[in-house]
Amino acid sequence: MNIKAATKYQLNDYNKSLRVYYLVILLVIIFLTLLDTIWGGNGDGTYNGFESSSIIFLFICGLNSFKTTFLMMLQNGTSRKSMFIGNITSILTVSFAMSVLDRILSLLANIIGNAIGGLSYSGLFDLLYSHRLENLNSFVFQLEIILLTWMVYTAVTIGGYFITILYYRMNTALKVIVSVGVPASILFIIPLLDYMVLDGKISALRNKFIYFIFGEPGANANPYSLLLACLLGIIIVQGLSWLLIKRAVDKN
Amino acid sequence: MSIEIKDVSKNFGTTQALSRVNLTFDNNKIYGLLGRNGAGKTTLLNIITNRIFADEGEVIVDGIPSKENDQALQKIYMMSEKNYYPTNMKIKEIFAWTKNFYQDFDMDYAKKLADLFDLNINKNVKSLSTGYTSIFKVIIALSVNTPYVLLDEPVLGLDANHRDIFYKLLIEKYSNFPCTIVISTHLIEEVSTVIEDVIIIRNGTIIKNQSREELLSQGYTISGKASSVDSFIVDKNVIGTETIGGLKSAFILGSINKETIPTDLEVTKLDLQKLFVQLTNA
Repeated sequence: MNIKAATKYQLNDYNKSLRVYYLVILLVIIFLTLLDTIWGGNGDGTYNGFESSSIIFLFICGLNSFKTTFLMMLQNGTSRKSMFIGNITSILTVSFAMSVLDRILSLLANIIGNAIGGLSYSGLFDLLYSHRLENLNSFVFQLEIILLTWMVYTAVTIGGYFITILYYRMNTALKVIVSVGVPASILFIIPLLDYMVLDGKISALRNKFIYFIFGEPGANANPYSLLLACLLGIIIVQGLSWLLIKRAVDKN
Repeated sequence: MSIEIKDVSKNFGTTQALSRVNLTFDNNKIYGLLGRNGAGKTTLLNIITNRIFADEGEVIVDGIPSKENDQALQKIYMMSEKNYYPTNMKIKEIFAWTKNFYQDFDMDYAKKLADLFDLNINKNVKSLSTGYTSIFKVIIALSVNTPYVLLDEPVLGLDANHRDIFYKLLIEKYSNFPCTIVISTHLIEEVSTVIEDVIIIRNGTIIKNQSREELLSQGYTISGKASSVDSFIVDKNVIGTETIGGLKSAFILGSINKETIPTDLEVTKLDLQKLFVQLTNA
């Protein structure tokens, strides 16, 4: 099996963009800290949520990681199965590394910001699940956040990857139908249908789903609901991706 | 040790690209896979290398079905007419990655060939001309050391000097590292001296599969003064003629009786290209 080479290649695919991404994030942290030191300094400056940019970054990475890799694998005598295993291994590795790195960065940003000018940083999941600190010690809380971030990062990368395979497999007519049909359905058709015919049942169901994942407004959210949703999403979307990949052919 | 193609068929929509193809590429031979545009050559090679799937039939590599099997696929390297490598990757990086996938890839030899062809390995793929894009792929094919090497239009865009170097290197490589080489090409005249066996494919069907010598012994070429040639070929199965000035050559199918040939005419071997044109036009 060529899994080792396939994994190494796909990991390397992230390498350059990851370096650029973290360079930008570091520069932003330095810039904001300097900005607060020079013009702020009253101790109430806050900034948060680098995880959101990591989520967007990984989603775009997922969107861009199929066709070129697929052709390279075909050229180098690697089966779709090995490519697929290499892909999930590399996604899990990169997502884990980024979740750890983002956690370290957020802690560092907080420490440096507070030390220099009273600028504080909060991560996306710190904001959502800070109530957990009442029952957990800080170390376990950090581990919990890393685990949650890892699954969210994995889920969004896999989501991007799935969309790109779906588009690769579709013919031009289907691409147009999906590209127009999906946004139109989400923005107009479903809301109209929900409002005019279904008496708001769809939006009620959607809210129920969102509340399950992120908790009811004002209530303490449970991170394991989001974790479970991500895990289920990963399993379902990866299963669908495999169904698309195993019959994918060279369109070169 | 062989690649066996068993009852392979492939359709693209309503177009039948391959129809029940049965073929064996034996160990350590150079094959010429010849066919007109759209005959099914690339489709066949793509099925062998798992790039596309056959609708029916299977490909067996050294006893292992090649479909989705790394062990079988690792025994084959295919140089395609089209590019499968990332276009923003440098040639030296592609060499390094090839070494990762094919353990027997000879990096030193590849670099030596790059020098010989004057290829700058620090360039990326998209900056190469058509000729040099073929050259870097040819270099990998010659350095990869797999038991089976499939070359799809290997000399596309190469100038006469580079083509000459390629054919010499191919023979040299074959002598030093015997393997099965399949050359799919339109340039029949050029490969005719290199190939041992000829496979001619027409409309997705194999119409000839025999040794070059055997195939060419099915006829002969007669040359001389146009009027003498014309009178000689009256009752013969002529597959083509060529006239330059007052001299004419006729390509004839059938056995030769040397006693019946006039003294002012010369007999030589049949031309593979002429035979190919005849067979694929019929």
